[in-house]
Amino acid sequence: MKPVIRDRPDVPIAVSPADTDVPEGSATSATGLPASGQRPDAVAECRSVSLAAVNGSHRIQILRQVDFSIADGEFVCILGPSGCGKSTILNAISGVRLPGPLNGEILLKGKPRRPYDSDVAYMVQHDTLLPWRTTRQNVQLAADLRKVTVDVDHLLASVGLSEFADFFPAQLSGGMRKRAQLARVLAQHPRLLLMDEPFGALDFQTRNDIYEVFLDRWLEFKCGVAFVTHDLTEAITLADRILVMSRRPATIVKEFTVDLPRPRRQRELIKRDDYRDLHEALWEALSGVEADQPSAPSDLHEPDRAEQGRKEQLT
Amino acid sequence: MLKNAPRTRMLGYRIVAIAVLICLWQLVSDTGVISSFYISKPTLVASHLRDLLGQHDFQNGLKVTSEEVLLGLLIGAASGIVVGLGLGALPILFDITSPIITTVYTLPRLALLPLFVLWFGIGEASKVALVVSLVFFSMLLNTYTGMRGIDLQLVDAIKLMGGRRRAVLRQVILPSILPWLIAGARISLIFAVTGAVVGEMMVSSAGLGYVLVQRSNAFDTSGVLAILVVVAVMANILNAVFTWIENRATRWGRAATGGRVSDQDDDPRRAAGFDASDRVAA
Repeated sequence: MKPVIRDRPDVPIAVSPADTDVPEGSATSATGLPASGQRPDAVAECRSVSLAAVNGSHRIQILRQVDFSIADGEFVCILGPSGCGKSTILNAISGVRLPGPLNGEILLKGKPRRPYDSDVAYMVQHDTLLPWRTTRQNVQLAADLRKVTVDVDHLLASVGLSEFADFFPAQLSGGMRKRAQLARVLAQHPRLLLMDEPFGALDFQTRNDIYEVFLDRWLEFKCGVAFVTHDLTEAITLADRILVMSRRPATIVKEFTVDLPRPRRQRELIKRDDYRDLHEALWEALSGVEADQPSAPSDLHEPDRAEQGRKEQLT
Repeated sequence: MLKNAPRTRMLGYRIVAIAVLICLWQLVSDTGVISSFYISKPTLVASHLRDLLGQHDFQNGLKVTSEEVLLGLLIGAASGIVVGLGLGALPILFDITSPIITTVYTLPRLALLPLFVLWFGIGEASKVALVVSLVFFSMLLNTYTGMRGIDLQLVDAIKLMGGRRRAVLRQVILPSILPWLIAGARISLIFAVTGAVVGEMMVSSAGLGYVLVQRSNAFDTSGVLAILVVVAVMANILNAVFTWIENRATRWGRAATGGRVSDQDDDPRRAAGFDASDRVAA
């Protein structure tokens, strides 16, 4: 595959027939997506974001016309095959280490985002607790740097780390370190929380425990969340809305709304029919993506009412 | 087990080892296997040491040499660390200057002493300059090497939490390079003591090295050894200070080798992370 060929700055701007099934007949932007004006409550918006990694003469298109927004207090999962550029989207929003120049617009609370915005907290995939600080000191540092007052001990208790407040990261198990990092991002009181496969490396049981802790805390804090994952069960368990990405160069090919009641417990969820339907639909959407046919939404059967007919922007 | 002996018992073993060595020395000398003219003997060295402590020459020499070592270490380390941080932040600058640094670093700095004497006089200043020239480069290179190994993801983490340059320096860079700084300080300590004493032996009018040369010229083996005992004590005290700093500042690192917390880990010392300085020393 020659990615360069996919780089299409001259994407047809006109609304294609496929776009007409946008829900509720809402106005569409030039790219066929809900116009940004439609989301006054959006905490974050990506408008036609494209990005190519440039390495000397080598150029790989990573993101292509990515459009989405996250409402205040909304939990959005970004689901896609590994290596497709999901993490790059979060990096683009946060402004951290981008592999190349960014095209398009990223807005935070309606304004162009500045790198390292104080309303954004980012929990990256790998462990970035400072090894020379105890759990409490790590969490406290985040609050101090953000200049917010936080009851760190209360926060640590809420993620189940009270007893380990004075331990160094190296003394904690993998699950505890994730909890500590969770406490660290929450301590920053973000309006938008970016999470990049934060629980990917955990075993099944640890992960389930942490979902519960995380979802409970999130219901309390109610910030917008952009959560990247390749695990569709995880996406259904956590999200209000799921965006399915294509392979690289990544764009959003489908969008699902998750209407499951909260608070959610995975064990309860899997007994529900609508959970299973959604699971099936997502599976199908993802397998379509895996088969590398992202530009054929009509090929995918869309049996689920939850699905919102996200259109393909590039025919 | 010897390896895991508590600190106090380890101290006991160490004292015994030194005592055995001294007794052997005394025995070899007393029985005349080797004449005490060449190797003196502990009792003689001890009595010389007692005499020395009362002599003005020596007292002044101790003061002068200590000042040279401490001042040289301080100036050399501070400037070396600052320049190392600068070059670490701007690797291009290091690439440009590295041939110069390597050249000067490999130069026998003792050979520069005549120049230092020319510039700074025969007194303490020339020896301080010599010590600085020795310490500066080892601290610079250690700082730079430490900077190369910094986990950039931690730097990003600080920035993502809203930290600026100062926070990055304090929270990530300094703690990261600290083990390198301590290692550099240990090497520098040897350089500093050697530089000061040998410098004094070459050109000076005061200092332990100066007193040592006088004793040596008088074939006073016991006197020479007595002064070396003092130099050794001085170096050991400074080394102990570094060890203390290291132990305090790198507790988190020992926590890492102390193992993770798990149900099986029933050793409270281990779980609490106050573990095994001996393991780190190894």
